[in-house]
Amino acid sequence: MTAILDEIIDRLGRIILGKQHQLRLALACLLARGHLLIEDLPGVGKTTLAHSLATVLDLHYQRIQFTSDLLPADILGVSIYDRETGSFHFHNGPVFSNIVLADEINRATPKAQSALLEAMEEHQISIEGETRALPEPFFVIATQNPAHQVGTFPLPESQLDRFLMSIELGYPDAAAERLLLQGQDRRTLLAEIEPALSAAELRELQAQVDDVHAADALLDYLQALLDYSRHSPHYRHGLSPRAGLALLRSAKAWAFLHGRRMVLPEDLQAVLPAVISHRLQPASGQPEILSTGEHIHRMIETVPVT
Amino acid sequence: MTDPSLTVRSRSWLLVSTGLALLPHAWHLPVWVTVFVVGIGLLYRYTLQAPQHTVPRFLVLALTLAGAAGVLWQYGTLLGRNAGVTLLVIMLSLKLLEAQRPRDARLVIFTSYFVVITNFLFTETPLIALYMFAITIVITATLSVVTHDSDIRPAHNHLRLAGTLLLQALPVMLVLFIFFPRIIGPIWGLPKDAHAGVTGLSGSMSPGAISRLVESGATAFRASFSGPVPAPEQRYWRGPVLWKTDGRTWTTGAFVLLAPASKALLQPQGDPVQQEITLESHNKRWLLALDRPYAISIPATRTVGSEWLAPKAVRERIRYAVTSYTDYRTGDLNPVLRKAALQLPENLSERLRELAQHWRHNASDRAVIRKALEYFHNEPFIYTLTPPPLDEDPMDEFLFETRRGFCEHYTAAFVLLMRSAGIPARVVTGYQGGEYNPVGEYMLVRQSDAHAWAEVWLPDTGWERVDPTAAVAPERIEHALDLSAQDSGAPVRFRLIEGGLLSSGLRGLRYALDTLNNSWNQWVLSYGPGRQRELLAALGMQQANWKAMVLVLAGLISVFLLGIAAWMFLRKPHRSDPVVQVWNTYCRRLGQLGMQRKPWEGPRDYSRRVAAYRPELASQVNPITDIYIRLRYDNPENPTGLLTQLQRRVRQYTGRAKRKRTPPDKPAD
Repeated sequence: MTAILDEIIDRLGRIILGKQHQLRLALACLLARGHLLIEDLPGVGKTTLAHSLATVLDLHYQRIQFTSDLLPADILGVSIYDRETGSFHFHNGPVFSNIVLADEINRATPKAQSALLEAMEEHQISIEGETRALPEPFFVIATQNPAHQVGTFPLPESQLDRFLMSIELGYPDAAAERLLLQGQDRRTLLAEIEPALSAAELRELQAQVDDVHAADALLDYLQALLDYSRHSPHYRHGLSPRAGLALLRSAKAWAFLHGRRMVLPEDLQAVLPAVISHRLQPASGQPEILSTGEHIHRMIETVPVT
Repeated sequence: MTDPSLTVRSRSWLLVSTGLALLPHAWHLPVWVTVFVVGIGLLYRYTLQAPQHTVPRFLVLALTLAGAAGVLWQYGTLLGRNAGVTLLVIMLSLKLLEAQRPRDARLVIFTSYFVVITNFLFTETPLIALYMFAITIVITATLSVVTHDSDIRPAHNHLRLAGTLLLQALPVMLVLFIFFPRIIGPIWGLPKDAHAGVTGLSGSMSPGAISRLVESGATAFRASFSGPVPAPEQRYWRGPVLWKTDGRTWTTGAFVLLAPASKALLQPQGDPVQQEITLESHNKRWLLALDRPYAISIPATRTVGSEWLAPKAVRERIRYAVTSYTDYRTGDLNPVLRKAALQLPENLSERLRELAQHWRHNASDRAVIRKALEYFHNEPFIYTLTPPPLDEDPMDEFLFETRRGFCEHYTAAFVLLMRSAGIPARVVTGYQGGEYNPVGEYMLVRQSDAHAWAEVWLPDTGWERVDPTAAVAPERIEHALDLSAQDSGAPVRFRLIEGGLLSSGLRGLRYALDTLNNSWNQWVLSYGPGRQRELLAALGMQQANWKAMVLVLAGLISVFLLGIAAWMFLRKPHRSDPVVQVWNTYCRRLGQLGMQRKPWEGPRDYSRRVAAYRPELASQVNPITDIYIRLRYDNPENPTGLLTQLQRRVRQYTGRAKRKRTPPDKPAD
């Protein structure tokens, strides 16, 4: 199994250069049945990542470009009157696919945002009194420009919580960038890439992630981390129980991705920044000396592994 | 290496704690100092409002020079208690202006602790001690705030931390207080100027001297009785005896009059009165006691006037037991004393002499005394705190013209009249009356109870007390003065026993407060070598020398610290998990090789780091880590077997590591 996962990472790595860690996080997120939020500037490869992930996993992929005039029906679908049968016929929207890339989600109005976010939570949509199930696996990758850019509707905290992880891609390092400049067009490479896994196999892997063992000692450590976030003066609120579950699920996926059947403290530490950075707000009045990443680093270095 | 600037929050804390530390000094420092310091506080407050608000350096320098110049102008020196404390207060407030960084802030904080202590140079009441304790908590909390500058935990967290720290220090403080070897002297060695404002009997008397003293409500001494409390008319507390006069001022006279006298001076008649006196510092040698003192518990000299003199001026509160007899006789008068007791000023007024001669005319001594007292009683004499001023011949003017006076006037005139009639007489100053405190069961005598009376020598009984004031204002002996409303020249009013629930409630509260003050004086401030010896004797340590006390001290503190250590040790969760135990042993051993496991480091990261640092160890470290991980984080089928395996490997490894360590590794070139 690990061989397949390594192969997937390897293939993705050929397109997204120098971002091994982020690729693994994205894959772990998918294996943990969570949705992924990518926060970064335009042009660092967010769309490419989503697209290549879909291709490698042989999943159906749709992209929705969020704009300020986007309507819920543009995401979910619409019923159209069929003159031949004399009835309304529902046309699936782009949300009906395995991997949905919601590009620049913070450019759309809250109404359009919530249409997608509801689908993420329930894995189904209710429209015109009918409930329609979404295909499995269902994985949303949303991208977001940093909130201080003009003309955005930042996602509220409750909706941010629906994303299992939030990652930043960041600029490639000099060597990776040189390879990028020297190499072929990404689009051509994407076309050449071959699927490594079927949808059924992916579901099988997801089921195995659930079986990864988390010992009492590990749960102790996880609770110590949650406890720290709740008693630290640095955050407005501590981590919620849902955040605790998200941490455990992500750590399991991460362990599985590394070929282990049990979670180690190192797994928690590896996924911690991606899982909690969008869930913790710095407390008001806090001098903005440390970035979120530095805060989380401090959290790791404060809570002992026993 | 510059510290980052402090946050506004920390600096506001600093302002508040410094302000609170300086606050009590506002009562005894000159007004301009208070204004100066408050101004600087406001200036500091202004700099907090925005980062661009700064105080230019030259202004700080100018203020510093102005402050120092002000102190010099006020006191003429920078040394001594008042000048020194004023300078400290001013400089602390100025240092605040510079407190932008943690280093300066800490300096301000430590100076604040010192400024708080300087309060004890001025007052030592329990109230100020309580305030100082509270302030010390605030200052310590400020230290915590400054240290955790970027933290924003709420204020009560810091205050709780400071409170906990101080409470933890309390037992050690008590042990040190009780058992630290004491030296003779007050808790605080005071510079000379500290005794400047002390009030009390001066050892000389001129018209107006006692009425001025009476305006002070300060405590003179407290007395507790082992038997019944003497009746009000017997409450005469003997102080300086004055023999010599120049017509206006009375003094103790020749040195011989203060020389030691024999015990035979006094022949007790009735039952003794046992009392214990706690005398406030008054900067003179007299030890006050109920008239007449017969024996005293501390080294002191008895004079021919039956005064008791301490070897040195009383500059701290002292405690002594006295045996007095209110009923007594004294012996013969030797020629030297008789001459002193009949001394008259050279320019004695003729009218006075004639009046005395007139009474004398064949009358007995007792008849002359009665006539003199009747004269005071029948002529329109008025007893007042604010008599008109007397010029050339004070006693003449008083007796025949103004006829308004306070006890010193009546006593001085009476003694002059007696001496003119050939009866040996002298002036005794001291206190009369006092307020009984039923809560603490002691008598409080204030400066306002100061009094002067006369003693005449009669051949059959010896020295006998005569109080001419009683002839004018008999109430004086029964009641205290009411000082609240005194118009110029008005007769004295007396404080009668007030009725009413409110006033009796207030009186009760006042008694309780003074009792608290008294216990504080007895047990805290007067805790000197004597008290310490008593206490140690009560605890079974007879003849405690300082070596024994240091041993007890060290022993008690060690026991206390060991207790805390034991508590901390036992409180730690007991590690019963053998897997963790073995793992900790292994980590310790690696730590001794310089590869400490960081507390937050997971087992796999740790073993990778070790392997990267010492590749030759990887073959032993990796299997140990693997087994540990399986035992602790996995769900192994055979945990017992794995544990044995782990223990064996760790034992082997630690043994090997030890052997390896003995010959230090040679550098591989």
